[in-house]
Formats: sequence, structure tokens, C-alpha cells
Amino acid sequence: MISQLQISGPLPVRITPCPIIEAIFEARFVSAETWAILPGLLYGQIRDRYREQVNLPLLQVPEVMRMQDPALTHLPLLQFKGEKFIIQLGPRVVSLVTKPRDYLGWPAIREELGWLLEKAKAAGFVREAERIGVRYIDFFSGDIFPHLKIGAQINGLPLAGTQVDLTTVFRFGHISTRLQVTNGAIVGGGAHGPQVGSVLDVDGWVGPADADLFGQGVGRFTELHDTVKRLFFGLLKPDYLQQLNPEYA
Amino acid sequence: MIAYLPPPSASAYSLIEELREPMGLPGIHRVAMDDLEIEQALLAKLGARGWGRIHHFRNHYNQPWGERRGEPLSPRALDLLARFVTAATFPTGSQPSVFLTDHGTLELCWEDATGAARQVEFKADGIDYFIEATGEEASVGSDRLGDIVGKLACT
Repeated sequence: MISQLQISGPLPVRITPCPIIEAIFEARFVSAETWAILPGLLYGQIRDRYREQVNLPLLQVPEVMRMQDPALTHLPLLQFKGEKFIIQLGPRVVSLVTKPRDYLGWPAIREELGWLLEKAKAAGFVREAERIGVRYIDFFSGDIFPHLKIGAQINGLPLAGTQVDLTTVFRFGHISTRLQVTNGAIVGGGAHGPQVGSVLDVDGWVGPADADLFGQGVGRFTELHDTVKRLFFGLLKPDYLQQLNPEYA
Repeated sequence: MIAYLPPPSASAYSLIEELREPMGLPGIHRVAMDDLEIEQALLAKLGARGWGRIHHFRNHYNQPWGERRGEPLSPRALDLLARFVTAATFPTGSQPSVFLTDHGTLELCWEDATGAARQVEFKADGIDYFIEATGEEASVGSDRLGDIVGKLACT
């Protein structure tokens, strides 16, 4: 069944308008250091490119409460803002994030990831990587489900005209992907303020056995990017893809 | 692996009110994505107590801990243990016990059909094991996991 989502041949290098509202390239880890000194260790390495530090709301929650709630364990507490990207840091996570609705393309991201991994290695707080992940969040105005190969059904017929939120997991070898599609999303920002529409949220990751962050981190991120991208285009019906003005290399 | 509570909403978007998840119920945990098979195996073979201990280790021992500054649980050790338990068959009536060591590794101990101890320690970079009945003790790489299952837990 999953083969129906896989498409062969070259993938577009660009579609217009670009639906990506955010892309996150994340490494989860365990550290022998306490959270209190992690920001200083990282900032000392990245301050040339990322000067502005922003505390995220979760930082206001007392550490003892954050550590008791597994749902909060891997969330970032701080952002370091640079000219092109944002770096996020938490007690067990570091991530490179694109600026909202400002996707610069994979080559620029790959280069920045290589730089960030060098800096994180020099900072010395990652004892062992637990997970390497790539997540792309795409927004479409209107209902995306009629344009996708996946959807919800009632008695064999597409569930139409109602709000749907669908989450499932696909495996591609050692890569796991979590796909969430909803036609009831609200996104903020942008030139026109908050918008209601559909979101296609794809998160791909490898687990501890394949998360050699400083040995082959950029290669893993590339592999995950390619998998997430192929799944994204594999989900779109061909006639809808044509409406998105695909450009090929 | 191991159950998580529902994660907070992604920052880039939120669901409209009708699609948001209702308040979670105490005692109901959502299995982490893609870990259903492992969760089932851990619960079936280690029992509620063993499953609960792993859940506890994973969620509360991920930073230096205790008076002796024990090392945080190694994700690779946990991954190895989960894969071992998933593939293993333990003697009827024998339920392994699981321990977190000061070095952040995990130990699994149980008795074979004759009542003799078997111990396996899962580390970030490999596996140590001990078979009391034969006195055999050795260390192997994590790529030998399948062999170790066959040797120790394939009754």
C-alpha cells in the first residue's frame, strides 16, 4: 500500500507558491551537563552568526515540572536568531529552523547544518544522540484532502465537507515518518495575517542506532530530507502537482 | 519508544477548536509513534512492573541523577534492550527484571528453566552477558544482538 505513495523519477526542485511555512532539522540527545550551562556552551560557539537570544514561553515553567512531564522533555526553551535561520535549544534538543515562510532551499540548509554540527560538537554537551529528525510543515488554503492520495472514508466513500485531522506512520527502511494532515489548521504570520486552511506536516526520523550525529549527521539529515520530500510529492495527486507549477532541475 | 502524553501543539500552526484533542485522561497513555510493536513486547514480556520501570528510566533519568551523579540513560542502550526483548522468548513463568546502572546502561536479569541466572547489560556501544549455568561471560558488539538473543533467550 505504501508503494502507492512512492513516485519514481526526478522530483521538483521548486513549486510555486511555496507552501513551506516552517522546516525543522532536529537532534535529540542526552547530556552529562545540566541545563543551566548548555545555553552558554552553545552560544559561545555560534554567537558570530546568532546574536539575538529569545526565551520561549516554556522556559517560564519550573524545571522540576518540565522534567516530570515527558511531553515537554524534547521541547526547546531558547531561540538564537540569525540572519537566515533560527537555532533552538532545550535540555535534550538542538534544532535548526527556517524563518517563518522564508524557505531558503535545501543547499543553504545543508550548509548551515554542517556548520551547526561542527559548533555543537565543539560545545561538547552532546553525550549521545537519541534521534535525528527532519520536519516540514506545508500550508494550503482550502481543503487539501481532495488533492491527496490519502484521506478518510465512510463506507468506502471520501469523507468530504467536514473537518478532518489524520495522523499515521510510515516506515521506509530505518526511517520512520509521521504524517499529519488536517484541513482545520490556523497559521499565523504572513502578509495577510492568520489564515485558516490545510496543513501537511511530515516528520521523518532515525532512532539511536542510526543517530551518529557527529560522524554522519549531515548525511542523515540529507537522507531524511530526501525521504520527507519524496513522501510529500508522493502524496499529491498528479493533476494537483501540475497546478503548483513544478520546476525540475 | 515508551508512551508519551500528547505533545503540545506545533508552534507553526494550531488546529481549529473542533479538532483539538480533549483533555487527556489519567492512566491513558499514547504510544509514541512507530513504537506500538515494541510497547506491546515490553508489556507482554516484562509485565506492568518492568514496563513501568523502563518508562520511568526513560522519562526521569535523562540527566545526571542521584547523589553519586549517575550518568543519564543511554538512548542506544535502551534501543538495544527494546530490540532484545522484542525478539526474545523467556521461560514460562520467568519475568525478567530491569535495572539502570550508574553508568547509564541497562541490565536485564532472569532465570533460565533450571533456575540459574542470566544477565545481559546493554550499553551504548555493545552488550555484556553472563550465563550462570555455564559460567560464560563475554562482551560483544551491538551488531551481534541477534546472536545474543539466540544464545540467551530463545527457549
